[in-house]
Amino acid sequence: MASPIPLNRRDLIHWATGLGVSFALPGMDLRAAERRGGERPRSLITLWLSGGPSQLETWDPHPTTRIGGPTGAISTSLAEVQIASSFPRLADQMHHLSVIRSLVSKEGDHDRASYLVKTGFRPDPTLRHPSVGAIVAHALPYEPLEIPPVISLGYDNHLSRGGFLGGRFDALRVREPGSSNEDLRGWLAAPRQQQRLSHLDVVANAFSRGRKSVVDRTMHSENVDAALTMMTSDQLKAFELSEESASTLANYGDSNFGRGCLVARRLVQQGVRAIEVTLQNFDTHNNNFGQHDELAAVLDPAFAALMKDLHERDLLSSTVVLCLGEFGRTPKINGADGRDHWPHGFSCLLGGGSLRSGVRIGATDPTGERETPEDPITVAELYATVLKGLGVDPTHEINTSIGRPIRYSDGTPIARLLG
Amino acid sequence: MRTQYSFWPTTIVMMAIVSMVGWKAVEPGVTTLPKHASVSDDIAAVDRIDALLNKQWNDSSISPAADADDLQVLRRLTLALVGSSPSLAEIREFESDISPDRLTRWTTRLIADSRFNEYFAARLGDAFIDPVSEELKPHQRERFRCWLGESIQQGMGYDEIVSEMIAGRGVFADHPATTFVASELALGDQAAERLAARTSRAFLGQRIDCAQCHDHPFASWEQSQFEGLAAFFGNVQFQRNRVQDTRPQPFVIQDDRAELSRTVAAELPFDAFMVSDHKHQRESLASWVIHPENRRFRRAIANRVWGLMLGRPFISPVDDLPDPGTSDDPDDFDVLDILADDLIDHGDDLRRLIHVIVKTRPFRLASTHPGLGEDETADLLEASWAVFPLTELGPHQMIRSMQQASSVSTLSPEQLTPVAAFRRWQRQSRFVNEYGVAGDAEDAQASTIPHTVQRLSGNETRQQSEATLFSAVGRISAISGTPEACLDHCYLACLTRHPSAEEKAHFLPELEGNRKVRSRACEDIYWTLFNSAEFCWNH
Repeated sequence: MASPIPLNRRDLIHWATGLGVSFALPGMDLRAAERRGGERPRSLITLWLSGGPSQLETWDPHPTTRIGGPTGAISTSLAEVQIASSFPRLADQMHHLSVIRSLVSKEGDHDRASYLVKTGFRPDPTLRHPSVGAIVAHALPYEPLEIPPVISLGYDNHLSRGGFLGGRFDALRVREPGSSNEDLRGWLAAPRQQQRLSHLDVVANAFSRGRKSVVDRTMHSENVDAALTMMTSDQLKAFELSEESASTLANYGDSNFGRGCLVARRLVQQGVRAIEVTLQNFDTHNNNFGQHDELAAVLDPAFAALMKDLHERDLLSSTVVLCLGEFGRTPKINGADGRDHWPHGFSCLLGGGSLRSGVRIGATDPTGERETPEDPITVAELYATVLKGLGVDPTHEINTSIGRPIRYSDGTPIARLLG
Repeated sequence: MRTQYSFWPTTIVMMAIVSMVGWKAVEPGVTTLPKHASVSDDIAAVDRIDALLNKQWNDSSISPAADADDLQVLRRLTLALVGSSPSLAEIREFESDISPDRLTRWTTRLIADSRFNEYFAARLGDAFIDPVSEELKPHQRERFRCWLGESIQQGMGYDEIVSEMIAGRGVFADHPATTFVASELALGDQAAERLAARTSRAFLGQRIDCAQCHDHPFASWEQSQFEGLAAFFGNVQFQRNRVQDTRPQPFVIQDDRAELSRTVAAELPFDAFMVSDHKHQRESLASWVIHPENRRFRRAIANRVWGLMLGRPFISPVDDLPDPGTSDDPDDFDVLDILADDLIDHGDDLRRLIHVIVKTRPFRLASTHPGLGEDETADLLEASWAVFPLTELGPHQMIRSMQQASSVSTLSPEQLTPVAAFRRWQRQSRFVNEYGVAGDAEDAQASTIPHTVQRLSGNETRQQSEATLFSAVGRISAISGTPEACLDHCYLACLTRHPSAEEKAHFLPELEGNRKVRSRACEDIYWTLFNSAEFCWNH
């Protein structure tokens, strides 16, 4: 669509370089963070534990039982809720969160389960569903944003996509948040870049001749403009950590995931709608306990620091935080001291936005005999709740290109979690 | 900017040698095209299609676009069949061939090319095997693709190809066709249902998946028809890499909503008279799917191949075609019927189908038209195939075209060392993974901001547009005698055309100067062309 302000790419860059700050462009209000909780753009941060974290080694430990393995449990700031003892710092932040210990799904394969838990829908060969982040971005457009509204941080195997909402809701992937933005910034000195852009106009004119309306529909030059706006945007600073103090950095932990969580907080401050931070290697078919200990050492400080930071900066009431993976792991410990895939009763933590904290939902059988947990919750119900927590109506329908109207979520929100 | 000329005495000698050897390919030379192609003779089907479309254009008072020039058609052809724009060497060879049927012979040659197997077979295969499933190991996917590509190249009938996929037995290494069944069985639960859905979508162009839970909202599919079809896959097993049939046993459907299960018998959804009796249920199903009177089967592949050739299927979506007409009178046939008819007459040879499509008017028309200035007429022109449609390159086409443009000679697998071939494959995979695979779901990926950023400043653009000793940019800038020749080579390598007068006026002054200036200008031109809509879209 044409911009109401008659600015072309070069004008924009001239403006931006002239002023030294691209966000000073007319009509662009970027200090999202300075607004108070309720007025601020709402965001979703998903801490994605890729590979399927063991519920028994995270938020649903069963110490001293046959299925519990060597994992201990500690009390938390939330009365009556214990989590695995490898999360001492998060234990102090649990009062900001609620726990669901009875998530159920029918998908035990990594690909299919990731699809389900990232979109809220089971895979359907006739339709690609958007990720929940894309839905949030679609439901809550935020004009001043110069960077993509859905961002994925870390090494994820299943990039969140816009699906039938369109490619503009695909996540922008930044594998090593906090390190150099070379790829995002462009690698050329400004004068040479300028020269190339002027070349581009000449070639574009030649191509447009005799096919103007169809070339306009490709949105090619708009995308180039938007990409360049982003590449020259001051908002890109959200990906950098040089402004953060050494103690803040230390709180989040010296890990790619920790830096991802800190960048996620900075992106929330810019008004980015959905940020996913991925921690890999939870597929612990072997050495489940040793591997979970190592992963907890990364997850615990980062997650705890994020909750504390969001709360202290008054960002938590506008930000929903959700921590989960594609499924859980078997109560039974296999011959390699590992646990296998288990979609029948896995756990997640969630809080922030308008969600109620301190709620505990569901329970798994401490003997591991019964497959179905008490109070089972489906992924669709979880996401209907998350959307509600962000002020988005989950029953809103979108007309897909195949003529089938589809809701943001098929689930019913969980009333107990809504404030 | 980093250049590689600092150690220059040795470099210059090496450059001279490399250039003299390599440049031979760039200059017009003697053509070695096959004299004629048997599957391309007798073009009655082409005349019928053109006559039908002409009539439709006349009836709606549409005047179709002018014919595209041959270089333009060569670009489309190469993009469709081998997944990249043509190399500078190929363009020179094509230009030197002045016989009237050069596009036909070029089609024959590209189908026989090993890159056809790498690209076309892989894209067609995406309809049969989930293109993103991680359950399938890369070597299994490759093995399946090779089998499919070679089968087409050797002229195996499409009916036989599909029959092997549906009913094949054995270990996948010996019988790669079994990957079709194995890839779904490996996923576990509800494999029969998924196979029924895939069979129907891939081979019959019918989506019946929604009938898995309820009756189809607008076609005549009922849940019981879906379940009857699924039951044909009820007795197939995948164990120790082997696909085999067990003894017949009842097929049980778990109904989650009603929380009960029921036994379902194998039953064809329609036209059951076509099935012949076989020992195994899957064989019976295959015989029904490929039966000459099952019009859906050939219409579906004609539509799919049309989509691969022109960037857009004749009827969209590719896997949800309307029911075929009931008349047997050829005067009532639509384009897909004519293509299907021709397939039956030519042993279901897909090479033949490609040839016929390439010869039809829509493939040969320009993508420019005076009516494309306004949205309304543009819609009408595009919908009636009166212009060649503008479609975005897929991620594979994008990276393969960038890689090809950065090499003067043709990047055929057999011309690369194993290490170079592996690195090329690795870089393609990385790019495609970043860029995204559309899959065969209804989600044609429009170009997005992350894609654009990847093109503007990503590693591939940077590397492929860098002037080095071996890159096309380095060689073109070093060897081209004049700025005109240099610019012409850049345009041909990237856009398969010569620069316009306006473009010459803009770029030629940039190319004046010493070698360093020119190589830097060439880098800028390459970057520009890579980022142009013209490069990123098929037209």
